[in-house]
Amino acid sequence: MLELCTISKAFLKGQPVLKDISLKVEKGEFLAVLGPSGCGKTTLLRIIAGLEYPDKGDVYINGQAMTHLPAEKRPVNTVFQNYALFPHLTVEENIAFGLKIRKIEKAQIRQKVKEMLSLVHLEGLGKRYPHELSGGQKQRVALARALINEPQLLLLDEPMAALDESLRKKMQVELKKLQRELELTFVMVTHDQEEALAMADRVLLLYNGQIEQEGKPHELYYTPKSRFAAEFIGQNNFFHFSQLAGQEYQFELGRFIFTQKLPPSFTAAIRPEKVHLSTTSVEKSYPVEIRNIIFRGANIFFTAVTHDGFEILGELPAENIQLEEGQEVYIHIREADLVIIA
Amino acid sequence: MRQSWFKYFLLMPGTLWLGLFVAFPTLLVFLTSFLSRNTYGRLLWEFQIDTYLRLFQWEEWIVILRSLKLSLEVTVVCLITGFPLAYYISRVKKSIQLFLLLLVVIPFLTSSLVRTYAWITLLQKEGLINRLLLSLGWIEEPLELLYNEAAVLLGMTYMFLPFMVLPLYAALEKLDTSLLDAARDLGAGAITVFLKIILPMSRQGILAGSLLVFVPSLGYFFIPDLLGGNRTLLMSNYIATRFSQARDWPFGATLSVLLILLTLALVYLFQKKNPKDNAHEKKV
Amino acid sequence: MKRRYSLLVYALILYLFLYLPIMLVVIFSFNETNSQSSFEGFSFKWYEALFENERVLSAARNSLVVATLSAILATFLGTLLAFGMWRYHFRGKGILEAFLHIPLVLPEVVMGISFLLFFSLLGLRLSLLTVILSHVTFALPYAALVVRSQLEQYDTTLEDAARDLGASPLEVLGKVTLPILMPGIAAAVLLSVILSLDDVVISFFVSGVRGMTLPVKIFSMVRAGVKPDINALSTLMLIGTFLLALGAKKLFEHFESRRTLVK
Repeated sequence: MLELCTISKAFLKGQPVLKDISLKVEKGEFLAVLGPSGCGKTTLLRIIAGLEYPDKGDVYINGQAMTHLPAEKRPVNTVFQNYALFPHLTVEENIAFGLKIRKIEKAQIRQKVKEMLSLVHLEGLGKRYPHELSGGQKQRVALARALINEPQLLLLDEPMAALDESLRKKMQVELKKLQRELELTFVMVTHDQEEALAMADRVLLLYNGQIEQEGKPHELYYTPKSRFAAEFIGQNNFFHFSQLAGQEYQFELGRFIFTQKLPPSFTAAIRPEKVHLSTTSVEKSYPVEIRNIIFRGANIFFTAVTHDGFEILGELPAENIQLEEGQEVYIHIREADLVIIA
Repeated sequence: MRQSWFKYFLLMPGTLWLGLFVAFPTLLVFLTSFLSRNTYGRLLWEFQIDTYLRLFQWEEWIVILRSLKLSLEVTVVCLITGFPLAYYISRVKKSIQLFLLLLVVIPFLTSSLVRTYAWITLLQKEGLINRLLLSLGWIEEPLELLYNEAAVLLGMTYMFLPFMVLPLYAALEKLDTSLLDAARDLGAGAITVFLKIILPMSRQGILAGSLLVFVPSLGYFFIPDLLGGNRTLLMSNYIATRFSQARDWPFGATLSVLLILLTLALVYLFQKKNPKDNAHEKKV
Repeated sequence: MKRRYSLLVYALILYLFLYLPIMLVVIFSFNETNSQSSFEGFSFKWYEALFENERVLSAARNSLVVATLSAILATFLGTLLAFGMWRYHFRGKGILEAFLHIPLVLPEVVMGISFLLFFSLLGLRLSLLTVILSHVTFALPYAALVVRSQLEQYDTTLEDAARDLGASPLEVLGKVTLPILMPGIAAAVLLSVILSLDDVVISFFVSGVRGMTLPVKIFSMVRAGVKPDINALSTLMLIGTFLLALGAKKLFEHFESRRTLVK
């Protein structure tokens, strides 16, 4: 469907924005491009849309080279970050814009606009102007305006950024449902890792203009390949292991004996929810004191502090309410829960 | 992909126009100031600097000095009369502020010539002011209120007052009332508050307003012509008469060069003091 | 509180100072006699006299032609220039910027004589054409600045969106950019018209006999002496410019309200 081959792009000052990006998106797939601001993800999207051209590399859509085809000639549509609705046009006129440009018959346009309005649940708001709409309604208009052109590929640039928390969650579900039902191909850019993991079939983590990691959401979450990936997606505790002898290693909490052969020195991460507590000392458990318990609905978060003052973040289902601040317990770490990052 | 023809299509016409009708004619003024003329006033391609030397003669100097003096007077009068008004506007409720400002601006948007004419009808011998004074018995016969410097000062003040009030208001509006209260609280009298707080904090506005009044009043032409009577009263009408009646274009151009340089110097000085403030651009 | 009242009284006096002279001109334009100091009965006779004065009428026609044509041309040039300077960075932009501001600070007398010199060098006879050329020149920077102030609030992603939806560069200009900037452009036209109708000094130098505009005509009438038909003419001018200013303000507000609501 979409294929990018070794795309590179630098700004006028020579500063590279994207370095040798290659990727493929299958028909009907939902790809999220995730990364911190300034990582080049919006530039990548603009190159796919044809609003910018790469310095190097090629863009193929449906097997056709489109690298230097301008935006207006590509079978691609975009939902822009702040929706970019035309302020001088009504909702209907905004949605009809693409069809009018293509000189589609008026009756047909009216029919399709009506369909689109009902698809995004905006019946009856067609005569309004953008400034008379709420944030969520604007987003729906932007979506309808793009979808009416039946794009082979829909690009979404931070589509939820302008919405408030609760509306965002609702729209995430709705958007994903729409994508499935209409069997559309989506490429979405976002800085919100939760959103990327929740919505996409596949996530591309971009950092400093390069692909840091690529994979299914659970792969990125459970097996981050770099410290950046581990830090950016979800929360993690990091330990540094150094070899004492054979498979025995020293780390921040004490000693640890691995069952496998490992390099002499490496970093490993463990998710807060994989930090287990026990009241008695068992094998591979370390004494800590519980501090800062934070209640967050279904779960509680706590900080465990070792004698040396090293802090570990943990998470438990909220039913385990017996935990108290100041309590002295043992942390139990399983080898399988440690993700070795190098 | 923005084709470069589009860039030229946007930039070229305006640039050419400015070059042809602003840059070139201005250069022409400079050039003319160095040319000679024959007895009929025709320009001759003979280089001279006598016109510049002439500027140092006393009878020419006096016009320049009188211009500067009058512009200064207009500025000071505008400042003194405008300041309390700007202060008052800045202290009333926001919604009323806008209305009061609009009231200051509206006369400014009407024809300036008409406004000057209005003063002629008032000040003339048969005008309302003389009639009032006569009927009050304060004077025996009508006064000659027109055709003197005072009339020009009055007309110019009338014309430029909005230029002063607006920037003053902009500066005073930012003044925090609590600051004044605090000063009062610390025992400062009204005069101290004015001198130590209000005045220093409205410095920007005073500077901008003074520039907006001083510079155009230097070059204003029809107020001195109509209210002043004397057609060589100020630099502006002195220049005009060099071109219309005296047909001494080189000297008129020389005076123009002087006026241009004076204006640019003032604007430059002002901008150096207020690098960010471009108030003089926002005449409208 | 006492200070408040004295300031209020002062403000009232100053507003009276600003408005009374203009109001008197209007009032005495309806006077039966030609007195400017006592009102002796209501009449339209000065207006009638005005409409029979062929030279005034032709000056008025000239002014309308000059104002309309110069405003359109100045706005066209100013809009293109503002747009180009807003969009592109290029060498010499600073110089262009400076030249754009020269007509704003140049004393009117100097601009007037510079045009006079220029036209006489070209051998152009003073006429409506020279007046129009001059008016375009001094209105151009104002038009450009008005349009530029609108451009500063203009969101370029709208153009991206239009292209993304299939619009060619020309269609983007016609369907998105221009319609959105239209209120600013219209305000620039109105402002240029106001400036053109207000101008005496520059027209005085470049109009000659054939291109005489209404303000120049009034100027020469006033020089010759005060007469109530000038009051009538002034009143009409006041109403005209006032309506134009009101129109410009309305347009601005229209644009402003839409913009703030979008945010």
